[in-house]
Amino acid sequence: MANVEVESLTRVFETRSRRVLALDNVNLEVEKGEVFGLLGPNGAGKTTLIRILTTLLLPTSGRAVVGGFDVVKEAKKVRGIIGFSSSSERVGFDFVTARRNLWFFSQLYGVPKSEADRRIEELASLLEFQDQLDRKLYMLTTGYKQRLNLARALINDPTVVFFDEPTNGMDVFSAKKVRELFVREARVNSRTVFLATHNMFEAEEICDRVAIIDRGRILAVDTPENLKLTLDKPVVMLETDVAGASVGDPRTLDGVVGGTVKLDSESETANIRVILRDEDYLDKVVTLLERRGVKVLGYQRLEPTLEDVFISKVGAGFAERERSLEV
Amino acid sequence: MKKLIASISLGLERELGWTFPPLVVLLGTIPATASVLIVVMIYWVGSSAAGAVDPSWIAFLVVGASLYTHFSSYIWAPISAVSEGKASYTYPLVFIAHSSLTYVTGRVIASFIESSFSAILALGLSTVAIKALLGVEPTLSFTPLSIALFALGMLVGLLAALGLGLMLAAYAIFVTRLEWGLPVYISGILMIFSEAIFPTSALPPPLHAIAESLPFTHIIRAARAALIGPPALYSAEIATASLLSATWFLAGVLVYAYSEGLGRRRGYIDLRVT
Repeated sequence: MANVEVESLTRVFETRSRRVLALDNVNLEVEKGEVFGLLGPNGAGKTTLIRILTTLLLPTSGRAVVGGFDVVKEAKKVRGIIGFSSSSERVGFDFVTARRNLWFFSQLYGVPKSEADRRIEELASLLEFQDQLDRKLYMLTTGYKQRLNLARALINDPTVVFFDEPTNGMDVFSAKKVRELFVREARVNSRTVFLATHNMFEAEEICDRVAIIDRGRILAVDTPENLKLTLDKPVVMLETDVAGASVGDPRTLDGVVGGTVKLDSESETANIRVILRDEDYLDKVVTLLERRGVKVLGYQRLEPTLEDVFISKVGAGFAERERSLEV
Repeated sequence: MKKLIASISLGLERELGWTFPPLVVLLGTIPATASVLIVVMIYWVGSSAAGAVDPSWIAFLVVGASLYTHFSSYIWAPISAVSEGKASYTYPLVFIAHSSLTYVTGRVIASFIESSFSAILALGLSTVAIKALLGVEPTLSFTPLSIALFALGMLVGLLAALGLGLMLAAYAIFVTRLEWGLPVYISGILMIFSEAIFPTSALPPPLHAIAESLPFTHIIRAARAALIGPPALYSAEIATASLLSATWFLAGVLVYAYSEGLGRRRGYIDLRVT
């Protein structure tokens, strides 16, 4: 049974000087108990979609249903069954303790007092910040604030919970804990976990299915394994010595579908990751690079990642896409 | 009701939690007492020079300035709840919890409770200070009945301030910078039009009409009728104040609800405030 259904959803932001198509005819279905990842670079439309699904924003056209309720016509009912946490948020009221912050939100959702007390203890135990519960918010470290933020998103026992870049800025250990929590919430408590991320590793590791989004359009939806299997083109990493030469856009090399360049300006070397149309183009790419003054020191075939799937569809990686959006 | 109580409780913690709570109330008496003493001192200097000090005018100023400072000190609560809430992301979370109107109301009530203690203390303190400093006793009558009637005026004022505050909060939904100045401008306008320090009959006719349409004008008049007299004026003034306050409150709720809908359509609810 689908817990999130999105049909032909479009959102346009208009100002006096420009018109931005943030979501373009998006269609999605997310099942109960599923960990679903929305993967794309910053500015791709992930947050806009989550804002609509959490009733913070109205769509321009199309329809979205969460837990069986329409986000436009039945916003109140949607709000009662969802939880939401964004990494960009400060987590609550500074001069109030972590416990009272959680208690306050539990009361807004009408959770009975004894149940609220039990949940606060349980979530603090799960996220390992029990000893911080009675400290005022401004006294907590960033890591504990992030944990409190996640606990707050689950305080009302939501059917569907939305996380926007939840592990952004977290240390490796905390991020691992949080990912385990997401999987547990989906498997044990049958919640739908809807996760917006630009972290490929995170999406591959915990998501049952992933939607790749770019410039407001869903490019593909499937399991991480299937998405990678759809990429039947070779992925090659070229180690190069650039020594003052310019690599340029890998897409301008004949036989390259798309690629990324990681330049180390100190050592004047670059790792060029390219997706080739087929294996036969490798020699040609090496020759073309050497004509540009780039010396190829070596290369290796790589297993494709979700970013390669993204590159194969739009020609550029997340970083290049984000830079192009800044222009 | 549960949401409202939680919001009041959180509001009180937010207002008082930064230091020892009774100290916050005591600190709140400083601007209130100072405001009263400033206007009384200006009157005293002028009237002494003319050789016509009238204790009933001093009482007029004490009641007006105390109540005016009381309104001014909590009228900012709704704009703070939204503006600061957008900066800390608590406002979008409260919105998602379908509780923003209740939350803003709770924050205003919390601020009102804190300010009421300060205002009552300031009223007593300034009366004592005027007597000690100027040797003049304001003609105020502190009886259980007059205090109860004064308190009723403050409660009616809460409704009016909530209406005005919700309109300011509606504006705050659309701003992207913390707008601390706005409540100060509104307070300035109130000082002129609410009969806080001079009778509105001194204003030219069009401005006088504006003053008469403000609930605060009638609340201050009712409070004066309770503490100074004549008591017969009280019921008419409090009835007018209640009617106007209820109208303002209703208008505030409607404007706020409309603005939230518009904010959601245009994407302002969770727009970051700096």
